Amino acid sequence: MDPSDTEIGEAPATFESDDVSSDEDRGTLGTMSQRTAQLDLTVQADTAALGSLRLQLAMEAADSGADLDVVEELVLVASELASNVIRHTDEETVTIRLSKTEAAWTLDVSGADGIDEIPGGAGMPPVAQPGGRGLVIVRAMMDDVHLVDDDEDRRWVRAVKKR
Amino acid sequence: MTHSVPAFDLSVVTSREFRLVGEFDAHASEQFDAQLSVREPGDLTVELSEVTFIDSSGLRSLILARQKLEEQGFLFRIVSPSPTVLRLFELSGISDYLEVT
Repeated sequence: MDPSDTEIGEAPATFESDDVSSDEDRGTLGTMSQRTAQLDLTVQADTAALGSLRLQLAMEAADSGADLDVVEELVLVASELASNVIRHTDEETVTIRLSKTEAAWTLDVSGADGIDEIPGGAGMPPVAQPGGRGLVIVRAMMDDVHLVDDDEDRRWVRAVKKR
Repeated sequence: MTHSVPAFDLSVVTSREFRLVGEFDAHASEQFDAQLSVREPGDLTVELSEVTFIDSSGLRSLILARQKLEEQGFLFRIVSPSPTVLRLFELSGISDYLEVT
């Protein structure tokens, strides 16, 4: 598959997910309940695929009624999380799923196997530190970021934006 | 399915001025880093008015560029950041550090 190619599920993908996170599972590993994704997109784990990923996500979020500001935030968050998978794991592909309820937008990004805690909770690093901002940005953009396992024991990062 | 995606372009206006257009992400930052490594030593101005997207990878490249030039005794300056870029600079608190004007 060319890195810029994407694979999109022909039918809305059904997967396991939460609604807006409760206080109980905020910042903790959650379990999943049934939900239908607005977008289910898999790309090769290559930085050359990020542009296509962002474009698809922006189009779907806008078509689903997201305001421009929300579209930009979802795109930035998805790009940051997918970049982490590409740069810091051996995954061959990365999958993002966007879903919407009356209460929230939810982004699920694959490739979190082996991770027990999402970094970035300590705030922005010192200005002279080149790295370490991605997950801080993700946390700043979203209302909740935590880990979830699907029914095949794959771990995902879930980022939730209240509507 | 193949889609047309927004391009990234790095124009070397002169050896002392880069102009970036498009999406400054992890992929584009590799191009920026490579171009930075082959330019002739000297002060550098980076113009960002037409950057439509930037993430932490782009920020990382700019911070590293600033530090590299500082170590070499040269000035690094960013001019005309687009609203999208400026928003992330401000969120990250690095506008002053990057000498944004």
